[in-house]
Amino acid sequence: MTDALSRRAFLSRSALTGCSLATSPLLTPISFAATLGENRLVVILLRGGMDGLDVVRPYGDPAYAALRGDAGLTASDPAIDLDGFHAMHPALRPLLPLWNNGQLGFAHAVSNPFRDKRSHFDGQDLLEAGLSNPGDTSTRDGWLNRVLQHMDGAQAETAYAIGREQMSILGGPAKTQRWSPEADMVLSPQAIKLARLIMAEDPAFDAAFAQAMAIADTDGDAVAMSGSSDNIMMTVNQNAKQANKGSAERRIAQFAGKRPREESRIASLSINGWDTHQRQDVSLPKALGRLSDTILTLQQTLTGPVWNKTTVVAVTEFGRTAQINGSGGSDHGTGGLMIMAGGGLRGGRVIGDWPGLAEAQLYERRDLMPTRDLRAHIGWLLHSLFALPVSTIEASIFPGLDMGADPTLLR
Amino acid sequence: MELHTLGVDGPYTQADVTQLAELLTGLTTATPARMNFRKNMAEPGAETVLGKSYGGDKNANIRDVEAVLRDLARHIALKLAVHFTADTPDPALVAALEQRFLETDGDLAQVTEALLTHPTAWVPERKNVKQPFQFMGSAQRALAVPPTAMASLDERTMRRIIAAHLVQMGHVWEKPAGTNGLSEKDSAWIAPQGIAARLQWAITVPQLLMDELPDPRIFLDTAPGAFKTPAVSFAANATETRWDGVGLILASSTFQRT
Repeated sequence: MTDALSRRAFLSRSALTGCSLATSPLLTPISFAATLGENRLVVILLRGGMDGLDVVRPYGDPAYAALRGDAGLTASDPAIDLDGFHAMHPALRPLLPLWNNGQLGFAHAVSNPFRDKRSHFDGQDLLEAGLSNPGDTSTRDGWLNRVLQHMDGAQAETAYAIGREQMSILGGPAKTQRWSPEADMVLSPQAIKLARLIMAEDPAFDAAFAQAMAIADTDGDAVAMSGSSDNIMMTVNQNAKQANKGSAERRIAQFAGKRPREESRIASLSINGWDTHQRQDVSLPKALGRLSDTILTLQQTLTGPVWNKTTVVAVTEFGRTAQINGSGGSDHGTGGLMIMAGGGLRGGRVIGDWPGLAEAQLYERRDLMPTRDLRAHIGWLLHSLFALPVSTIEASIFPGLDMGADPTLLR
Repeated sequence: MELHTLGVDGPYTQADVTQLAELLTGLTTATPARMNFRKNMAEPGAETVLGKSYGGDKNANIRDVEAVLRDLARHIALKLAVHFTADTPDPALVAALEQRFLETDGDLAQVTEALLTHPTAWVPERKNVKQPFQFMGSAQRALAVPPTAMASLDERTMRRIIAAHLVQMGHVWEKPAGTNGLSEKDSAWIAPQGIAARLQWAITVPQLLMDELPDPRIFLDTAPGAFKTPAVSFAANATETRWDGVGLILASSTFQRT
């Protein structure tokens, strides 16, 4: 066949007969949205154990000052009084407009069922598996994967794990997509055409490559690039460098925001740097800066009507000790904080059954006592966003969970 | 027991796991690959593993247990067949490997011979997708990259042109996602990000490892050889540059599968 055709003729013909991006069935969202509904969920894993008592400071508790000192309401960069009882860490000031619009909210004194082992990995495993008992080995699936298994019309594109890290929260039998902004393609226009042609010979390769092209085309820098191999190599390195720079969170969030604008409904990513054993006055603001950057970038990228259908929820494997340690940090604890944002949130409030900070009120006289399982809040969100029945959530998504009363987190 | 010998469906219980752990107390490492048994460091009393009781002070040989050997044979046979032939291997091949394992008391050289001489292993159809490291290795062999090219890379360059690309392909070097190692499932690798990373590596990196890339039209006969397909042949003849041509051949399904 090659002999009979000039290269140019072959390329232009192949562009007309199914190799072109526009005609690939994989890239046409068909009636996806109709089947899946319009709501979106972005789950952010805060790896390392966020100190909820410092992020949303319960300064109204009589025992607070003895444990944590001054809440910083009159500092030069002051903490932000939320409701006369809680003050928000100044590093989250960029999120204040969201709070004022009711698009930011917190659930305090929550945790997963993880107790006493205080290991990051076990804690994160349990958080991502969504199980009740750390010893439960009945499934290794992530709970977001189980959500997909119960969503009618879910396809691989419905959920994205974003970033370089393994996201067990989405692991399991339901197909999902994975992408990190460093995974970039820079190819000559001709190589793109020929690659399509080659991939078309193997259905699995063809499907994966078509999706890769679609994603890479929307990740902010062009795939097609003319020039010498040195130029291409240089561009690949520059893109990788940019992805590795401080703007990584923003780039991940931009990517995460673009997917739900199209066919996907669930995205998950993680932000590290919460394990603040020392000098958390220095380390925590950095992590909070990344979180607020991520949330604001999601809001900007999702824009208008889609943001109004999106809920962002940030959870961590455990809270930290009530007392500040000798190095100006805090150690692995129990009860923590869950952060929610989104256009449809009934926010502007800190919810939770406050356990108190007096020594006898602490878990093991040491940590904030968890008064609610964070999976109950997530369960109610899943119920509202994806119309999953409570019975399904309690039996299959978070087996053994009692969801309790509906905190009506959404408008 | 779960990952390396009996398999997750093997005939053991949690009690066997803890009993075996107690049985192993007292074993200490001497020089690499040698172990000593120190009686005073061993858990006192007898242990029962898979139905067989062992005294607390004698050397025990787990291979005494027939059931263990049977399941071990099945587990190893399946792992080898999956890795070297297909995600869902020919049951006859698995049975042959299992049988050779049992006949030779687990002599892996003999089991390998059984694999290499079984007709299924010689079926030309290419079913398995190479894992990222195998892909990089086979690409370099096909291109006849000189051994010194890799050996002379400094650590930084090695990270930039090999390790970083492996990560994109889904393989973090020496840090598998789980204790069960790299996935044998083709679908774990042929995902959008994985395939993009393979193509990008194939086009950009080989030229850094050798003085001159081969002519793609000649490389076509070296690498896929008899397995070349119409589209791959067309691409090899159509590209304007050697790096695109060689990269496209390496990224093709016919080269990626084995």
